Amino acid sequence: MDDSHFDVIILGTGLTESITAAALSKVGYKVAHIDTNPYYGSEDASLSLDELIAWADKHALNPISSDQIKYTSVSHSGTQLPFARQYSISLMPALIYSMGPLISSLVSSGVARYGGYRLLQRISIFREAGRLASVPGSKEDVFKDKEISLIDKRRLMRFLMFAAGEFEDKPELSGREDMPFHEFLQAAFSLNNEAQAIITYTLAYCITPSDSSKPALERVRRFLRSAGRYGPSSFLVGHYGGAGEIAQGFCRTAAVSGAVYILGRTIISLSPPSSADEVAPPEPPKSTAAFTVTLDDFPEPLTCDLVISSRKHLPESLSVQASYIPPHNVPHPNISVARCVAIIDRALTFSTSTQPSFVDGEESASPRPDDESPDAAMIVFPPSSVEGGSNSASATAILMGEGTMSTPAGKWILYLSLPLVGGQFTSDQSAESTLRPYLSAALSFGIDAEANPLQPLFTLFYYERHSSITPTSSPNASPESASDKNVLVTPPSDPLASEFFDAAATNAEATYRAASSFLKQRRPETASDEVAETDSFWPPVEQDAEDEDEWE
Amino acid sequence: MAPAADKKPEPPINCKLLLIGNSSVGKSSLLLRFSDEQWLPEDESSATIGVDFRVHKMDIKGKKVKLSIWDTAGQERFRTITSSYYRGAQGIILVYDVSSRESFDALPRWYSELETYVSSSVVKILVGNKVDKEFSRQVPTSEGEAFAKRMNSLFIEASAKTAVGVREAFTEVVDQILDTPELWASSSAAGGSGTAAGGAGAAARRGSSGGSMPGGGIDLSRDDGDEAGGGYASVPFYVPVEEREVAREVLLERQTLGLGAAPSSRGLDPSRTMMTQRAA
Repeated sequence: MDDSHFDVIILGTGLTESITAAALSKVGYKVAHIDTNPYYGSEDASLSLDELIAWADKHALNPISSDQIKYTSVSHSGTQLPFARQYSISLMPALIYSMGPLISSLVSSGVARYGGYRLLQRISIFREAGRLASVPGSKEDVFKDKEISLIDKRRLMRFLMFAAGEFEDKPELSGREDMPFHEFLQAAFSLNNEAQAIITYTLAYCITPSDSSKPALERVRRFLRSAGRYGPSSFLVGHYGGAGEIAQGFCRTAAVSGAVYILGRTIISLSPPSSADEVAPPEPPKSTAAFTVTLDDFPEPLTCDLVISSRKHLPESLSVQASYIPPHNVPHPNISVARCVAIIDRALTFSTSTQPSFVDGEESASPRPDDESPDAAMIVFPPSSVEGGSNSASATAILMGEGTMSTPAGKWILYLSLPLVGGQFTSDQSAESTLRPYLSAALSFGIDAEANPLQPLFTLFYYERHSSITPTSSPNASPESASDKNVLVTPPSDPLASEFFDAAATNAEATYRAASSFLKQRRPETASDEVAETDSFWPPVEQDAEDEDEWE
Repeated sequence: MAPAADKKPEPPINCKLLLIGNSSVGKSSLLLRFSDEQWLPEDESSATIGVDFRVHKMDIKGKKVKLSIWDTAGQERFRTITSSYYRGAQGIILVYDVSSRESFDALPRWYSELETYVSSSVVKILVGNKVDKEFSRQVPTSEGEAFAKRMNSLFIEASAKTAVGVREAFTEVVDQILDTPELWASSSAAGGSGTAAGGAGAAARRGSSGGSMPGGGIDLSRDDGDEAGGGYASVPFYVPVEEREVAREVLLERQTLGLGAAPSSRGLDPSRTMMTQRAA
């Protein structure tokens, strides 16, 4: 076969596209993976501080309100810091559930071995400036919590048992599937406001109090079941910025299976199989015509049978004929968020009087200073908890320190994220003014912040807009015809920290399945020879015989 | 290959080595020659497919060293090597082809990539490969040697085909890594991302006592993806507190073992770590 012909060309190296590339390469398809950015990860990249500043400057001139532009109201303060290259700052800060599609893919694909992971040490809920409450995420936490009355403990326990089990057919839920979650907690379990808030925002990760009950319960169950797999916390944090690093791991795996990687080249043209003048008849699916992709500063054009693209990378000329893979199990595919990245040089303290810490079950154990000023922690701000903040949506602050390998010693990155729902913020309000109240609230937990207010060394604010408009592929597109489409667009990911990773893995699997069904039908004769038949998303990982360790 | 009687051997020192250099200079061939004592004739070998990394154990200076040697997976072809490839490397093997002036002239770009991603204390060796093609040599030994010296690197000429110099190239790197304790005993804070991989490195940097840090590096494949199996994983949250505590003890123990004393046990070869844990 020709060196420049591929079964698939994938545009964009975001996590979804990278997982898809690895899966297609592993079963034997010939993949070329292209990104116009000079770095891996596209919009999920992890960047060093100098790269981040360049990224921000590039987007700083974007108009503040536009449906077409993803990043708006981009502003950063501060200049270059020392050791800029030692930062690994994520454009998509997110947490990995210990049980779920992403973890399964990491382990089954072998990509887990490329990177490091650690547990999220703390989750706290914001009460008021300077005051946090820790989240009792397990039975023993509830037992030991001295602020919960006995009767509330019983109720909370009953709820946790319910939510961890098979609640689908239980009477408590019947008829209440769509009830706002906080009402459900009140109606079915008589839980008080405090417990409602903790469950709604830190176990179920609802954005608003009115999110419906059944999906919220499913998220609580995922949270509870994730606790314990790798340690007490439900969440893992990826080293070196998480998403971007993990995307690179999948790209490497794809490359090991023969995928070709091309970054930092502009796509000059991507011409569809049928010539432009011949319009009317829909071409037969078995057509031998292929796409031709011409790249800037690249020796020869590439050809392929199938194009897979992220929304961002999709050339305009292909948007009409493209098949948009619908998001599946992606809770918030089109939600826009306000984001802030702040770099600080003092730890935040998470001590909360006599309350048990989130991760801590063993009272007899020696105190762990890590837990008081952790390297990987999250603060959840329920709606209306922060003065000047959102009345309708909950926000999160994720703290990453040196132990996540994403900062130099003695520095921490604070990621703030607020979903833009409820229409409270006018479109001409800047991202900075939307998030300032949250930043101040988070910084109030800096060690000695009362005596000596904590000032960030660097801040970046921006809106990340996810358009809810899905271009219609063609007026009479039917689901049956989807497998004939030779341009697939990956589903939008979920920008929320708790959802991003699993949504990306789920989206990748859907894309992989659509792609392989197209490729199989297109060239069944070669496909059966060269492509491994498998029903599972990942073929079994080959165990290296050398792995026996004679030394032990 | 330690004697069976040696009941409590020192844990092996983990070493991560990387191969870099232009396409077709013979990186994968050097790796295969060294680890598998194999040679693929030129018409059979193509641009790298399928070589991820190799694990190789050796005894050097009375120390047991477990090398993991990583290949570029072909991503050098269009200069798209992932930054994550460089994480935690202690030694770099830069390869050029003595019969290709172009591959030698590309070296400064590879060195500048190293400057970006790894700390200056990382050991580098420049390997002029394919000395079996003496008749078409384009880069004199003295030139390679002088350049290596300027770049503060070790230097050797080798042939993956005839095996000349191959073993020496790898052992010299390891030798010098062992002479640079900051690369493996504790991580250098100055080095940026070139510090030892994983939680143990982070622990060392924080100066914590190590071992008892459940928040540190985690081997995701520890329970082999078997979501129902595996010690702690199978304990649902609603079992009695005491049992949970026992399960947690087990977990902590496994993690302590998994992290070990060697700094870069994370991220190199988790399946081995897993085995170690199971054996223990």
